[in-house]
Amino acid sequence: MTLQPFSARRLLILALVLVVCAVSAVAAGFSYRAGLVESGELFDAKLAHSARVLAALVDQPLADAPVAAGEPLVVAVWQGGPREGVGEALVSVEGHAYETKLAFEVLDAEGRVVLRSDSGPPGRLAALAPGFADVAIDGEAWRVFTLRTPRGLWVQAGERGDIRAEMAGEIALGTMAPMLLALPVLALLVWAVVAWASRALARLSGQLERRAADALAPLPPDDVPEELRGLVLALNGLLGRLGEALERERRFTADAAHELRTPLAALRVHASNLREARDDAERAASQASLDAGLRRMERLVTQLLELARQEPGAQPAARAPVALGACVRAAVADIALAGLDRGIDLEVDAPDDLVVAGDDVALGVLVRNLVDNALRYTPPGGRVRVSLAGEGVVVRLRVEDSGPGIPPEERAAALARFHRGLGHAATGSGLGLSIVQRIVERHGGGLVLDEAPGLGGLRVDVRLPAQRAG
Amino acid sequence: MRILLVEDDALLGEGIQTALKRAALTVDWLRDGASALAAIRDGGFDVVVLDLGLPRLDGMQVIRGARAARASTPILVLTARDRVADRVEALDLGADDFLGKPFDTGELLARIRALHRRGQGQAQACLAHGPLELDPAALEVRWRGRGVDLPRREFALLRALLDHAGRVASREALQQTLYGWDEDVASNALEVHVHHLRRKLDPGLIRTVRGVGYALAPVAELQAAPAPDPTHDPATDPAP
Repeated sequence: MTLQPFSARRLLILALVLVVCAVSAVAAGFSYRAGLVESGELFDAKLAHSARVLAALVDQPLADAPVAAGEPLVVAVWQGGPREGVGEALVSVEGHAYETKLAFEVLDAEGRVVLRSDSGPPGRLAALAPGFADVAIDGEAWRVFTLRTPRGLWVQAGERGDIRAEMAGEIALGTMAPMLLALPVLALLVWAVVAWASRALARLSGQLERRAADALAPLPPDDVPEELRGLVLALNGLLGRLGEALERERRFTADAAHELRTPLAALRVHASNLREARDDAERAASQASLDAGLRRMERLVTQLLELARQEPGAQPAARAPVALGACVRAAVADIALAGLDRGIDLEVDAPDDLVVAGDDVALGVLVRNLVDNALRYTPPGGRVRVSLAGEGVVVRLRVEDSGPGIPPEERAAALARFHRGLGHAATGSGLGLSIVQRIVERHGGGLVLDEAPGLGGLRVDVRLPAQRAG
Repeated sequence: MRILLVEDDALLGEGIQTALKRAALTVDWLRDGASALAAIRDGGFDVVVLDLGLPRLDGMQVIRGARAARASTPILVLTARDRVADRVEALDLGADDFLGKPFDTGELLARIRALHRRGQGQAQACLAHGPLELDPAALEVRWRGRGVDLPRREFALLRALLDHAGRVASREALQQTLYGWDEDVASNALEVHVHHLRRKLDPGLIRTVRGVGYALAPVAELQAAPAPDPTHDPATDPAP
């Protein structure tokens, strides 16, 4: 396994093989040890028992019938069986292949062998001391039990150690085998499960890959594994938000394109009229209209940009303390000249101590749009009043004019993008109040349109959350 | 030819009005859908140029209302909506043509002329009556092959008479074709224009039908030897 792309499947299979092998090895080790101990106990008991039976059988006869020195009786064991093999293969009617691995000897009090099996060595098996002993004979490990009969004979029963190791090995193998056999099956299973899970992932990425850039329909959350559902739901959430943003953008662009067509058409017609003008008076009239159209275009583009910046989700409003009084005076100073030229009485009452939390640039745009609207719709010689007042936790900005106002049934629509009131000289873009409303929303404030009681025109109240001074 | 222009944008409306007037068309300009529908129902227009996004009554509603009232005036829709579906809807409701904003003034004028032609059942772009030819696009008049310069109002009058060729054009119809609502008309203005036409073209071209109006002389008569009458005096020409 390299450090190339991380593969859960390879990692899983590798981990599985390692764990199963380790567990098998440990289990086999334990089994081997337990096998050795258990078989040791069993074989030791049999060894002692064999020696005891032999002693009981040969003690009297051998004591009564003295044997010629150096000529012990030798019992031949069956040597025809195979050296290796298991179970029935080692067995025949004549004996057992493992008989050669067992031996016994009987010695007299002087240590001379009087009886022995031919599977053992010619001399004694072990030192003549009662009890168990582990000895090496011809390079083989033997376990020997030595017994002294009442008549002074020594009986020794021995057994080659490899029988015990072989048995313990068999037991250990028996423990390990099922695990090792199960290993490929488990690996296959893991491979298949991971493949199934990755197919769901592959299907998911396939679905996403084939999508057009603007296909933002949610992914079906039902045909993926439980573990992927969270991912799918999160993706769907993201797709949804993207879709909304895209739709907002699309609507805005469509509206903007639509709204740019009429002023453009006007420019084009006036340009054509200017070209076709037959005298200076006509030329001057067309030129004036063309200039007016260009000014309107300029304002429309500016306002579109302002509106785009204030669109929901564009960016969060900055939250810095803004002294609204200074902001209002600066904004009014920017545009007051247009009103003064038309003889409009513009009155500003903006105390300095009112502070709101917000974006000073956006708030300047807000004030400018409101005052610009008021000046635009107020007839020459009319009045516009801008005032600022603290109302507890909010600051209220009020702009009133003596223009035609907006009838109550049209006030909701007046906030919509590109709405223009009926019967005015349609120089407005229909964006001013939309921009104001977006800015108010982003500042967590409120906007109310009403009739101006004193002046008779429109009264706009904007309430913004106040920031405590200091 | 008298055009009803319905456009709520002041600057655009003003520009179109200027362009149409220069093309010797009579223009009445309305800025909302409701009054436009009333005007179309009343009749008297040769072509309606209609914006779709109108206050008080949407342009589509105006078309629907006009056709429901069996007003057959050709309607040219002028709009910023550029979706095919909008065009299809407008045409299906009974609009006759469609022009997207922004547009070329020349194309607007050509489409108005085409609509008017179709309304009159003509296929040729130029109107002819015996030795008299009139090209509405180029604003040119030829009498017996000779070009004649006519002021806008006289051109419009001649054209209206050509539209009525073979019939008598009533005084009221001619007056309506020549003057918009907001224009002050001297009571003998029509007679003065007729007089000028007779002087510049041929005294026998326009006949007075007493109590009714005016008519062009039959082609056969005009093709016979011309009989100029320079002594004709407008003061003695009786009003119809």
